[in-house]
Amino acid sequence: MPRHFTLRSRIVAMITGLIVVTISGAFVLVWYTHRTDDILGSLINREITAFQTAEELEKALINQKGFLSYYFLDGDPEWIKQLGEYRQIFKDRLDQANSRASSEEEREKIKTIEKDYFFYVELKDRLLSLHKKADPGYTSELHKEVRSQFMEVLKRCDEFKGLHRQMISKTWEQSILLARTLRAAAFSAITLVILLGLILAFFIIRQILDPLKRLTLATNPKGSSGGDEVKALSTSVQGLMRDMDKTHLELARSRETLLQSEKMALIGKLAAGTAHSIRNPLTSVKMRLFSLGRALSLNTDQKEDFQVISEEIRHIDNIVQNFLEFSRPPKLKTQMITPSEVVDLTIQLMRHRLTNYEVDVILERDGTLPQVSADPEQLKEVMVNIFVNACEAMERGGIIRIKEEEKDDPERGRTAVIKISDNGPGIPAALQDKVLQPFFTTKEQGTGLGLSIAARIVEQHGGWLDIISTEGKGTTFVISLPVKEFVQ
Amino acid sequence: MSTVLIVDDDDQLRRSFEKLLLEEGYKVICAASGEAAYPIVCGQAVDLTILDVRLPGMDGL
Repeated sequence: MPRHFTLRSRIVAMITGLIVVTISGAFVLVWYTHRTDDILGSLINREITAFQTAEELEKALINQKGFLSYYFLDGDPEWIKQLGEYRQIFKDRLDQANSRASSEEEREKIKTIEKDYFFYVELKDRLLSLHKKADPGYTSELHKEVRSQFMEVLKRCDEFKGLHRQMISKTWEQSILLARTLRAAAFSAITLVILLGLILAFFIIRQILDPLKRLTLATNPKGSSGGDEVKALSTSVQGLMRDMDKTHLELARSRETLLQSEKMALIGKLAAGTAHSIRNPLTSVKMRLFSLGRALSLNTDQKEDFQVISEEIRHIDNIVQNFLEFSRPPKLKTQMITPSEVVDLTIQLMRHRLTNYEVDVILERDGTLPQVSADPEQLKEVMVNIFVNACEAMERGGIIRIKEEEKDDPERGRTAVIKISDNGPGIPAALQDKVLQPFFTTKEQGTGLGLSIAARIVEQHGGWLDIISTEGKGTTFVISLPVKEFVQ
Repeated sequence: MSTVLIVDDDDQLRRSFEKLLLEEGYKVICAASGEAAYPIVCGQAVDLTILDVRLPGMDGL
């Protein structure tokens, strides 16, 4: 099948073909019955009548035989009269045949019969007149001649009859031939219709139903494919449209997020540039202050001033450090390590600070966590940031509870989970989404980067950081790290 | 007496270091660039070098 025809035109062509073949078949049938009527009608009306006329003509001739012999025997003129009647009948029949004659051949035959017959009649009349006059010319010779001429006419009449018989059989053959042709045409029409029907069915199945089925399966692999393909497709297309709406919404949301993070990245870059420029003079200030502090002998008030200045400078340094770290995340130096070890290290590192904040740490551990691929320094940073956040949230005298777990998530696979809970004021529901965003802070002296750095490091490890918080009861940070191979 | 070499392109920072270390009683040599610091390191025994990583021209690494 040529590919450049559209499916629609092919199907339309095939249906048109089917209709044309069927209708022409019907027309041929109607025509044929008319034709049969014609043939039968002409056969009965013309040929058979003509044949009958030919037979009657022959009969009329045969009937003329013998009268002359009877007359010769008894001399009754009644015989001659009867002969005259039969002659009249023959003449009438001959005229009849002549008027019915439809072909040149027939007319030719009739003419021959006529000629021979007249000759015969003439011979017979001569014989009769010779007999009446008792002429010596009357001989059995002449008698014989009359008889042979009679046979001649009879032969001609037989031929004429034969011609009509021939014509009847010819017409009959013609009708048989026509019937045969029609039968052949009908058979080829049936074959053609079946063929076209099969091709049409093939096209509908192959080009429409199969693709529909495949489309349905592709759009909705779970849906049942049995039954009505079109219905199934419309169902799955509706599903697809719903999905599209959802995707559209998600896309809009993610575009918003992207815009936000682009903005953040820009701010981060700016901040990093600024932080880097600030750092050198700050270091200078720090050192000068240090040497100044040693050289001067200050009174109590001045000492307090000096301490505040030093403290504030340290704070500025801290902020700058965070900015730099946020804008230029260090590359992970991963190794196989159990997060339990990092937890221990962090607690050890933070001991001094925890004591300052009067915070107690409770560690719940059933056994060391399985090894994960991680950068221990970065992981420690995550925990430190969360610890610092917790300490600052609880102000004085809280409890940090660390719980280590191993989880088997059906979607995310095996994970090592570290839950760090505090009993601080918790995070208001409205702010929970924002806590991990850079530069978001509720503290007067915060940079808003600590937790976002933590979240980013965890994500770099292929894990995720969740926050569960109830206002007034505290906050739990959940660090989940995949145990399977680390994905950068 | 130990010798400390300070390499930094920041003038203020270099001087602050110098002052602090001199107060501590070290012998201090200053260089503003890697190019300037290289012959000093080669020429005499330096006990400690405080080297900025990011320098114009030859860097600290």
